[in-house]
Amino acid sequence: MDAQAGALREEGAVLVIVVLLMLATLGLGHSIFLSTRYELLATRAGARQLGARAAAEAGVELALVRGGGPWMDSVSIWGTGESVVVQIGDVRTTTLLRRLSPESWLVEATARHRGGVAAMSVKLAWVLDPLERVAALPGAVGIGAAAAAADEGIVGADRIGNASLADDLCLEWSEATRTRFRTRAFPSVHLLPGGVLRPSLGELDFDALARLAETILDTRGTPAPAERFGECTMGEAWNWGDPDRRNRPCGAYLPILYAPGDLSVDGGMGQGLLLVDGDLTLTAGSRYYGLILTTGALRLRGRAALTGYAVAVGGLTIEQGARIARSACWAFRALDANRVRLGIAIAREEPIGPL
Amino acid sequence: METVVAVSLGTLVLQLGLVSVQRTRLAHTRIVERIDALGSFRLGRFVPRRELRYALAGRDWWVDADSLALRAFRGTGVVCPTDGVSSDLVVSFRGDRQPDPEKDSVLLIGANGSASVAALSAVGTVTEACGIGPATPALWRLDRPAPSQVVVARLFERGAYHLSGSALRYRRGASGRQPLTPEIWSMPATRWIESVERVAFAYVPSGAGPRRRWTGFLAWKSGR
Repeated sequence: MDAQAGALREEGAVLVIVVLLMLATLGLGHSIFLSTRYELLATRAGARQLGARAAAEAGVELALVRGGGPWMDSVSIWGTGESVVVQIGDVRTTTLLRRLSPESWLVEATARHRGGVAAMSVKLAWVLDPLERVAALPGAVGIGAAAAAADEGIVGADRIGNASLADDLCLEWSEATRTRFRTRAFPSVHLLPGGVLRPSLGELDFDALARLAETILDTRGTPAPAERFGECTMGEAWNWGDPDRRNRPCGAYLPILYAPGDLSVDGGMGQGLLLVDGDLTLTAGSRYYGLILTTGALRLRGRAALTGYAVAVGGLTIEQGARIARSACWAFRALDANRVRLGIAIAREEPIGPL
Repeated sequence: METVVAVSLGTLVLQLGLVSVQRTRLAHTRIVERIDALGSFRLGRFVPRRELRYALAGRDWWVDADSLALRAFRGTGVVCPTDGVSSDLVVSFRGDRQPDPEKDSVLLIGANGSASVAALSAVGTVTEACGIGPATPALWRLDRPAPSQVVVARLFERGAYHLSGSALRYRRGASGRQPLTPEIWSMPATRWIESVERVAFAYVPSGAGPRRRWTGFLAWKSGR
């Protein structure tokens, strides 16, 4: 009887132990489940946050790549452009450009995941403003300090006069300058700050400008307007627009041109923004309208003429019969006509945050 | 006979139960360790990553194998236009926390891209500012006149992240290093890796072999 009772007690003890072990296993299993679930939730939240962050950064990059356009002029300081909304999957991204100064823009993108997660990315960008850039030039022709120190640095500077602006060509410039009228003296030739070896336009350095050029030039040539079937054949190397006949197809074509070495222009005419990584020589009655930037010297010979502004780091030579007619309007037109091309060149990006 | 069978079966069941508990406990321990490792990796990667996202290499941060000194940006004030030069700025502020003149400085970004630093002397309130969205208008007094044409004032504290004592630690100013992660990292295998172009975070949990090394991108050095 005692033995039977003892066996029963033993069987009961095993059962209790097994149940306890099962409970312990269940508890540990549940703990594993909770830990895994926590990790899953954290990972999911992280993935959503990462997606929102990536979408916000993509929104900023998209705005920077697309760049600006003529609409940017109409945005006042502290004003905003039209917001761009992009929905990709569960993430909705809103991008906005806010103007902080004539050339400083805050590019803001906010991305919201449907799951409630949001992220924001902001950059401070610099976008060239033609009016601001031309207004910032302290004189008609800027030359490097080293060139000025040399004897041939400024030769014939007395042959720099004012351009005659007879029609509505410079109406926009004139209206713009009403609010920013210069009261200081405006010299024909000014010295660039010491150490400047390559010309630039604000935050856009020479190399960045050269990358924007639509035409690469050889060492020598004669520019002339080129039309085909009533349309201007843009991109042709020596088609530099038609400054004399503004109603013709090439009249509104003011290309960005780039010569990687010395350039000699023999006669002909052209307009736009001319970049020369070397010396530029205009000769044989050649006429150019717009803005010229050269890393070397600028030489005008044999009744050649420039109407606009120039920066010639290597110095300036104007021979008898040649002339420069200073015209802020033409410099402005050269930049304004390429506003979209120049506007997409964000020269500097400052990450901003946290916000 | 019945007793022998009962004892044998009981022992077997007990053995199986104990093995199950042991295995489950082992699995649990490993999962907890794994979660700690993942959590600390997340922190070790994303905390510095977030800090560096807002900063420029060479100007705002400098990295060594086990230390990362930086301007830790805590907010941004868009500067309201003013006439002339002044040490008082009216800003529209948004950030992680409110400015604290005791420990904060300001990086002033000009319209032409110039950057200069000033200490924050005092913070005041203004009734009206050029508000942007939910931003807070505020008056910031600096220890020196701000350059003209400042468009953005970025609030920061000086700090340094350290990989020491098997954990990631943060030191603000001259104060002590505070741990941000559990002390489970293998040192010196866990370190920051600096190349010409970028900085990465190499991480090895303590007790793990070299095959458990994880590497994560932190920031570009070339300002792209």
